[in-house]
Amino acid sequence: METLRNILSYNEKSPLIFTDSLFWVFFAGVMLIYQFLYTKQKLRNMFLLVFSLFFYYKSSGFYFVLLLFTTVVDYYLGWKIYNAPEKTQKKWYIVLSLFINLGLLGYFKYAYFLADIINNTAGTQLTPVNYMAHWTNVVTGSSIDIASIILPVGISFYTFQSISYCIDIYRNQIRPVDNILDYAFFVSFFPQLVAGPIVRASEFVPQIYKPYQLKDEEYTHAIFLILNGLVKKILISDYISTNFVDRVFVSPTSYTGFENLMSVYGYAIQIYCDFSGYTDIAIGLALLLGFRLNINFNSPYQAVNITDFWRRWHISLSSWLRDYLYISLGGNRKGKFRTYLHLLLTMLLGGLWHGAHIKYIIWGALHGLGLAFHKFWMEVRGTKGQKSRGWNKFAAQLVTFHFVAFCWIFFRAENLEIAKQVMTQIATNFQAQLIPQILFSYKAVFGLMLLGYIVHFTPKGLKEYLEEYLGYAPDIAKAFIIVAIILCLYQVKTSALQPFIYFQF
Amino acid sequence: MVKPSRSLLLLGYILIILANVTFFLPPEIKLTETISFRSFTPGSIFEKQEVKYADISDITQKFNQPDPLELPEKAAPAKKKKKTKAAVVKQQAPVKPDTTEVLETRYHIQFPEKADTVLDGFFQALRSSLPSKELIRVLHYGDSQIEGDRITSFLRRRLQEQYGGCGIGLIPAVDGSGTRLTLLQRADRAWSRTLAFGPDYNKTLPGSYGVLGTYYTYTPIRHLSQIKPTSGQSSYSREETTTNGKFDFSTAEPVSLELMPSDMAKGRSRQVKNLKLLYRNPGAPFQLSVTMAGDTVNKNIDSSGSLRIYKYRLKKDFETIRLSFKSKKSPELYALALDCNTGIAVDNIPFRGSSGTEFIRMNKNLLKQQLKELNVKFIILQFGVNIVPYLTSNFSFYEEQLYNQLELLKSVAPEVSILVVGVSDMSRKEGEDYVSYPNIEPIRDAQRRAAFKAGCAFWDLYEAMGGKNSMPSWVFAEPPLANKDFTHFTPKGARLVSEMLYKALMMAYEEKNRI
Repeated sequence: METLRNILSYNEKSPLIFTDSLFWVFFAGVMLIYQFLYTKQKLRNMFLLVFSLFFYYKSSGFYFVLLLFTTVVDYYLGWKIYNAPEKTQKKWYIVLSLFINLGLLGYFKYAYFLADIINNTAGTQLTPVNYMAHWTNVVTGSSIDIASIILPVGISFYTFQSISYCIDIYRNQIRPVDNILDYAFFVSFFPQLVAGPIVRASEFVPQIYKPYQLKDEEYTHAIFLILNGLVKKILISDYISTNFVDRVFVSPTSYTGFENLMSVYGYAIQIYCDFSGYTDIAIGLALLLGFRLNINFNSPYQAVNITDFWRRWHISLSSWLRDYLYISLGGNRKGKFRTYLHLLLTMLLGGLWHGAHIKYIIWGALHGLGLAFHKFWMEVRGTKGQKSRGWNKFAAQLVTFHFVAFCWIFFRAENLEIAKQVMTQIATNFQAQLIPQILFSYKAVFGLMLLGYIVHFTPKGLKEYLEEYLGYAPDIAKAFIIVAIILCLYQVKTSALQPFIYFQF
Repeated sequence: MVKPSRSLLLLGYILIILANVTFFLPPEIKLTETISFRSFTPGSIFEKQEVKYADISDITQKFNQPDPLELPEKAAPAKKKKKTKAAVVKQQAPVKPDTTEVLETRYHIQFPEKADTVLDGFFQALRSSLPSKELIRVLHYGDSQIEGDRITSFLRRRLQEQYGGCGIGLIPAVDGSGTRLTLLQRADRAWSRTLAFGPDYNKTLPGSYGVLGTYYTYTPIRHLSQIKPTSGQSSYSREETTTNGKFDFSTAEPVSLELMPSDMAKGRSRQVKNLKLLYRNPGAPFQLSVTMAGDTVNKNIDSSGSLRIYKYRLKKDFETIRLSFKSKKSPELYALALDCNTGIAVDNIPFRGSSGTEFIRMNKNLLKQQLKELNVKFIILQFGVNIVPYLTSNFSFYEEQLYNQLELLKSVAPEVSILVVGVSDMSRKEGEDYVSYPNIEPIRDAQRRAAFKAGCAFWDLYEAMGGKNSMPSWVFAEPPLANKDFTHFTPKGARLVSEMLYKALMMAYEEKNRI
């Protein structure tokens, strides 16, 4: 009984994530009920909404009230914008919507950061208070710590979804949703709720009103995506982070420049596997329920330039930034200089979206400069639209990858001092003579990194072929394959720690 | 069309197969000596943590210290031009330790039976010599656990704030790793170092290792214009010897070292009153010039086989110091030091990869002279993590080796107090859990026995950390106190350790004062 209560209630230390077996137990439960409901549209949507809210509660406790609040406000404002007879009135409502959404996001995400900046510049002593916790305490008599503001899970994602909904209505691109429950379902659909992809109303809402549909090859694709995601996350990302990358980034000066460089390459593949793996699973889960979410990563390190990279990396975010920030700023319609400025600003804010720290702003600014430079370069050389081939393409990929990897240093480092140490070690303490010894000592870590990159650069056709092959297998055989994969992943999860080795230099 | 029931059925199949695997396969099948295939256990499927990690909340509360780099440090008081009488009296009174806190037994410094006086030499020095009369030294030897001035730096800060002193103490002439955050060092390529530990272990030149377990030499450089130009070479050539007799200082190229405070050096670690150079030059005389802030001091030093210390007094605030050497043959450099004139100096001396068993490789006489000249009063030895991975049940060999080191140190400096810091906790993986190596406690016991037998005090870092399975709690603490290698402390963890050690030392000192 106690265990059951634990399983069903919120636990700060164990949020429900897709790599936990508990999640799959829940998912089996969802499918069990879903098979009776999937033909009845209203019931189906209701059921998925209820489970999604439960799922959110499991991940973030009483913050789910905040999700409900955002939902109600944006549903209401969506209609207000739609029904307003005049443009100015529409404008007022959209401003209000932005103010509320960004205000909430800003409060929960940036309160400390802003207070810090203000305190440092003005010499004040501001300390942010968690009003959400304060009010909960007042209302329910609980005693939640009000001194610390904890970032509600997924808030960055669902506020962006809500904003896109209101702006799309404002731009006359979509009609508001008829029923608040349907809108709530769109905002809180559990596969994408916590870590994306950021789903657009225009893509998702029509699906709410369509009957369930899942083709054979989609079913296989879903399973393939989920397995793909699990392998990326557990085999590659988790292993190399614990056994190598995290260690170097805690204490870069304890490691040679070569090890630091390898940890940068390691982090590049780690963050890709981590992030894309998670959204792969999300897309697969949604598909099994009959909902289609757009692809979020498209082998980003195959990009031949930085613009190309952002068409392949976290596509749902980059397209969101393009459509709602870059274009809202004026895009490329206000002259060359403004275009560059807009690019830079968009990426700067995009960087800040990832977290409240100067390092994310630097990361965003570097990407913004990169994008602006690329645009400039194409214009100067007049090579816009041309495709490079052969060695040229390879060189372009190599340069692009290294620029992206360089930017990741700032993204990963705890602070700028660590980032500086990583770069200094690579530049001044490379210790090339130790390379064979280092490669040998970290063979498991580097082997997995290599595997990650090889798979990343494998042509699409081969992966599709593999997926098709999985489709031919009867479900019982699929089950055996899946268990075999799970067993392999378990070996990685229980594998011995890579022993620490400090090379003499 | 695929109905949801098909997905459900697939999940059902998976569940049945998993249940069978869990039931029929043993949890572990050994494939080779080191590789084994693991299957699920019912507990592992639901991620039930089998091992309970130590609770360290009282440790983090009791010893939590803010980051010194973020806080303005109390700088040493500027030298007063005219001392008042009262100030003189006040300074001569014995300094009281700043803690009267009573710690639980597991944090205590441990003494050999009926010999709780083994640290009295150090305590006596704290009582009578400080803060004003002389400079006393504490040498903190250790493995990679203390590298980069970790643990030591905070201990130094605490002791100096209490007993006076400044500077960062002994430093290597050539910094191999660049791990110190408060000092930047640069050396010409002509320099090389030889270590008593690590890959240099088998190199023969015993007897020349300095107090840092190292010696530094350079290959003299002559300008190429003086010898026949050879094609395809850079403008300098390294030559061991010079032609036709007498060495000409005026035409020789200097070989240099540079020291500069980094932006992160604040407070006392930036204050330096003198720079010392420990060396021996049996081979040839050398010319030394020291430059700081445009001011250069030149000195010709005759050859001599005995240990010497050259002292350069800083007339201004510490900024980039350049040391240039000219000679036919390189002197043996043992260490540099950035010190105060009085107070306490605490030196960080890491031996990467070592278990602390290299001291017997040093020349007894030379070591004796160095410890005496440097006025060393206290030595801390902190080793152990490097032998943990060698699984064996009997560590009497290590006890013996460590005892020999301590005996050597005792024989060259009988009046110096020695504290052995025991091995820290270290984890390996069992299933999905992190557990303490089974070796930790036997190693800790061996270290303690060796310490007591040699008449040294012992501090049980493993127990102080929280004992068995405390390392995972340090790693998973927020912010992390230890790195993901489940061995080394993060800077914050290191600060916690030195605060524990400092308080334990002060408590022992306080008890002595009371009697």
